[in-house]
Amino acid sequence: MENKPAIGTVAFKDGNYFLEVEGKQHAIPVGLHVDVAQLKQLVGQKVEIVSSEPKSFVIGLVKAGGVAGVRPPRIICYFPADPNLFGVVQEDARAALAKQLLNEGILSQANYEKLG
Amino acid sequence: MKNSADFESRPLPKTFVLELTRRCNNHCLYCYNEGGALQSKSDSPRNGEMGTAELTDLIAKLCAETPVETIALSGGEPLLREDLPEILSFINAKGIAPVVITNGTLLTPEKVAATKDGVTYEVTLLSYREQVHDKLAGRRGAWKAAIDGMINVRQARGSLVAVFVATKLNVADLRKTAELSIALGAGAIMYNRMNLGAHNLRYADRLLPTPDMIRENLEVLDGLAAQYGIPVAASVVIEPCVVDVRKYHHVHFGWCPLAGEESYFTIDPLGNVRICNHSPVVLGNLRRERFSDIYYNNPYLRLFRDTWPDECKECEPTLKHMCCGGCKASAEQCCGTLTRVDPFVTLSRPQGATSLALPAPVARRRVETHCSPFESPFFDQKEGGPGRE
Repeated sequence: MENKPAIGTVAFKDGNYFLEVEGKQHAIPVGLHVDVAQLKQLVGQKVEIVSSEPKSFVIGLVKAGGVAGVRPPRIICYFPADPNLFGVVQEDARAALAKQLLNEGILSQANYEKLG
Repeated sequence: MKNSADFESRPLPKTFVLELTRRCNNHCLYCYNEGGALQSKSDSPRNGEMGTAELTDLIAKLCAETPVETIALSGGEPLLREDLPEILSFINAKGIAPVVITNGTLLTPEKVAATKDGVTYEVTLLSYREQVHDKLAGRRGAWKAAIDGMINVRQARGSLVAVFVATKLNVADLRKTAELSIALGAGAIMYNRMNLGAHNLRYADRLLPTPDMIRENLEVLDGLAAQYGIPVAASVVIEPCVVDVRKYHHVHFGWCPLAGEESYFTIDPLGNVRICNHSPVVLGNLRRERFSDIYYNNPYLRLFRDTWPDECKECEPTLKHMCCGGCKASAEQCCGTLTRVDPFVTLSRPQGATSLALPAPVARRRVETHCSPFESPFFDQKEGGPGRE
């Protein structure tokens, strides 16, 4: 893996953590491989963003200046997607998709109703 | 690549896969579990698999010897074990995050209720069409049961990852299947191109997706990840000499961790330790040996890290660094050596079908023989339209 550091700022809003880069906010899902206590300490601070090639995915945040920050999540061969990657699908988008699949005959009415 | 001293002092891994059983109620055509699954009913003989007490003792031993953070329970089908709730409770009590890798067909409301605490379920959904899913899973009713299972997880507010195993039979179904997964509440999608092993190599010509098929799938996934914000991981290595994966910015790609700290060493139902679930090579037995002794002293681990497939030696350094030699475990299973490249690479070349010249596949265990599922009447049925539950 080749790392390409960039700089961003960690933000906290409505119970969620974000990484602000070039005016855009990117959610930082917390979970097994992201220590919330460490992340909390980084709020408002500049961080180096460690990305892995060939993807643009952030694999870690390191406090600018070299102090270790959040431990990177792991995406490795075959092993399940990291739990810290959960929770970013908006419920209204999910519900709209369920409705679309119902209309297309892929989801039955009974199962559609169970999904809520 | 790290030097020898670094390798010898590398930290212990934090992630392990426990194969609880080899029994499975599906008969997946593409099954790439190293040992293959015992295609038997839940009341069949357990073939020496550990009982509850032995298993929890083994987990306790592993926790005492390593800094375990994640344990994935796999199989076979782990939900065939009646003691799964007990095992999960034990793991949870250790402060470890459990993942259950399952075909989803046994995720009844009762079983979900008994197992969901702290658990991430990884459920395979092979198609939005019932007949395609059932054909690949080798069993009628598998699709309906898996859909029900995913709904049960959502209703119980459990965590769900949907897994799509890409084969020639279902690549065209990816978009709708991923959308269905999202609608069913999946919080992440895993895309695994079929990985070849000793047990599915005979179906390679009929199942292994072509590079173009994978490219089309990755385009779809990249778009869905951007549209819905759902994390997508392509976990089985897609070697960049076959498909240039660098342009799919919303898909996270997995690479072999080469027996290092990021590896997920796999422990089979008898306690045997392997580098990963694909690898056929037994390094030792955790019931008799310390994990650290195996990890630091078994010479195969260095061999696994340092051996480059002959085909990779002249590769562009950037790609070589990225892909780490592809899936060496697949090469080991199919060719019996680490010096050959993952057969997915060979078979993906235009002349692949004629140039493979593989030795006999290497299987550690005896394989139960069945007639080819492609030849059974069940698989002669016509594929239908959109699936209905």
